[in-house]
Amino acid sequence: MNSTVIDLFAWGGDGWTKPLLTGLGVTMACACIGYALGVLLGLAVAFAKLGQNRWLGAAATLYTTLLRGVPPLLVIFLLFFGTNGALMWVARGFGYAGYIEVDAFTVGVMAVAFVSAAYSSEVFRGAHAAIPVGQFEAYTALGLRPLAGLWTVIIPQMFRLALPGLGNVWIMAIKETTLLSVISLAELMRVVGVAGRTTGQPFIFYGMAAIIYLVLVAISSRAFHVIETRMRWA
Amino acid sequence: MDLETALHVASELAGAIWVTLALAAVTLPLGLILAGLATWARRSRHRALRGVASAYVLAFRSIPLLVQIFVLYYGLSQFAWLRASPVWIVLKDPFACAVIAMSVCAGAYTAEVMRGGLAAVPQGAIEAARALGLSRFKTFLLVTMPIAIRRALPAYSNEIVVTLKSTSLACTITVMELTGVAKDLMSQTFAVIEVFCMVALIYLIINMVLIFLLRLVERLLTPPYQRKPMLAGARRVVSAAKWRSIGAASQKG
Amino acid sequence: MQKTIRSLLSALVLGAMLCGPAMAQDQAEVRIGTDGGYLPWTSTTPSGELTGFEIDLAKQVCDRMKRSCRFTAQPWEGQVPALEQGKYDILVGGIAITPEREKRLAFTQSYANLPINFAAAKTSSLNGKANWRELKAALAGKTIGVQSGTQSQKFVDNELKGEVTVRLYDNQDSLNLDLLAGRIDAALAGRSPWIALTRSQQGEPIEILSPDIDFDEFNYLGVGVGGLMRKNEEDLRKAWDAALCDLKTSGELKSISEKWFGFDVSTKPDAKVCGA
Repeated sequence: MNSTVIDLFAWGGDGWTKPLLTGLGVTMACACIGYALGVLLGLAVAFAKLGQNRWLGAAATLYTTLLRGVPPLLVIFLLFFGTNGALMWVARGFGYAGYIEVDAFTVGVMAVAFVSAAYSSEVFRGAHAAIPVGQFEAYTALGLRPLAGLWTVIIPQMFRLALPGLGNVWIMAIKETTLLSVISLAELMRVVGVAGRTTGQPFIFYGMAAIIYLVLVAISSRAFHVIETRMRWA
Repeated sequence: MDLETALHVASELAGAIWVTLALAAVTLPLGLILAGLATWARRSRHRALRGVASAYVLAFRSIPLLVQIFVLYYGLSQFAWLRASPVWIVLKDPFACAVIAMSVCAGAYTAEVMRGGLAAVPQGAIEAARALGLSRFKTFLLVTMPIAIRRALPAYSNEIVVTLKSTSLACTITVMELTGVAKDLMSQTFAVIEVFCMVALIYLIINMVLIFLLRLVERLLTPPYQRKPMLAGARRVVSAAKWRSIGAASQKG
Repeated sequence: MQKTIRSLLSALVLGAMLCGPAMAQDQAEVRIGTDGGYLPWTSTTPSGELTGFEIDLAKQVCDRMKRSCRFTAQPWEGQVPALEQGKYDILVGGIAITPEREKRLAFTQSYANLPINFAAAKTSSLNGKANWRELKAALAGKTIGVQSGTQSQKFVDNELKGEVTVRLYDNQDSLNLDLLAGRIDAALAGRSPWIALTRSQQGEPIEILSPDIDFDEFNYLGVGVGGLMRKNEEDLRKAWDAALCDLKTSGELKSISEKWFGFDVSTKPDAKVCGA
């Protein structure tokens, strides 16, 4: 308690700056990888919903309803307590009898990815609906094969139209990483908690976390805004 | 999962449903009040007031709720002077801490919903009311507000789902609501999937009931000549989607 | 049908499998899993070496069994699935023997029993009670914190249900913070975390309450701490138990205990295993 605030944030030694930066790194890694996977999965889910296969569509709808209606914290607990068992079950069907372990980071990435996928699939579906029917007719008229037309005409436009929505999903992904502290992943929130408890200064450390996340979100919205304006001119 | 475990799980969860509902039931009205205040302040003539309200909305929408909860619960409790003050009567209680943090956060989000609703009110309607000789206050009460509420309701139903989900964070400060109990059950019984499915179903049912109720409110607020049968909208969306799927289906070649 | 789903899913998890499967090791070696962050039971030195009461004890047991042992540190949450799936042969680390756990897994005989204690502020009216009856009367209407899934929780559920408000915590640190803040009137936990807290600078206003919660009186709390293993490993369990009997009668267990806890936490030889 005698230590001053400056001592708390000293570099190296007993200072907390280094662990905090490491935690921030884990947070960003988890958010970035999870988000990237989530957007790809979301695109697939969106096309499953738009496609003509009824079962695939129903499965995709069930997926988004579930993941958007259930607290992310519950999803994290499911993955944390359930993934090991599920993987082993699958692996055994594959003829592998050893032990597989999924660490907290993988669980974290998966949690961010699954939740982002559910939201971004809705964003993509909205973007798809906003593309004029003429565009679909146009690539057909140009003699493009459907897959090529989709790839060169539709998906690029979808991404542009989806950008604002995808920006929101990214901000949600950053916020979701805070929940990963409950499964002991050493991301920023966890480090901040440990620091607060050991130094007896939880207010300073949680307050600092609040500022860091505020800045992260501010930078993110600014960045997405810039990309949006650039894309409009393209 | 054997029958005995299933019954144990079900009874534990049944008790926790009320905690989750209570959290949401207290948070939502408080959030609405805060959002109303923020919206009023953001439309005020005083620059300082507008600034404070905008800062509130921006900050509390940007900072993750878990951080807000921990600052309030663990952060503030480190100060002895605060623990000696009357504020501590409220902050001492984890349930109250959860409700305060969640309400303040929900207030910021709801303020954005309200702004959207107000922005959607056609200027012509307001001008018409003023031209008919209604006072500013009466115009707001009789024209602006009903239209704005109706326009904001779909977004607000989304906000309700978000708030309901955010009640799960209360379990991080010892309030044993659905998710907290589910976590305990998962680690005790190892019946992870079963517990998850049960809890997920409970959340989805609560969501659906709330959204259905809001649809009813929305319908009541819509003038009869504008009302549509409750499912017609959905049908139209589906047929439009089918149209589009001409393009989407092409992924299969 | 199941098989088809499995093989389909298998393709998906192929990547995950490559991430680090631990293959079954040489069977002659006893693979011991432990937490490594739970002083004084097991702990990790800055150089990454495992030390602690149970590490010393397990090394002695391995010597007596004449088998080589390998220790691996892993957080407790993942230990039981890892044991069940064959990554470890035995888990040690302050694991309480309970009937629920015995349904699924097997225990060695108990080798330690650490009393649990209430702790409260020095200024609290709960201090200085002569026996449990008096303390119980004083606790009525109070708010009590315990860590979830511990013997302390079970004790509070059994003895104080309806008379006190119980708050559950994920870890001892959060429990300490709320005890220090005065959100809870008292907290119940093993004696060792309380010793650590009261010796720290922050924990200065906290005091360990008498009396000790006596495991003989409240026998549902279990018979103490044991090694956790799979049910089908009878040979290893017998060998481990025999070594423990030996260490108990020779007094070596007592001296290891005194080295790490500062007092004797060892239990008497189990008559069913060690004979009369």
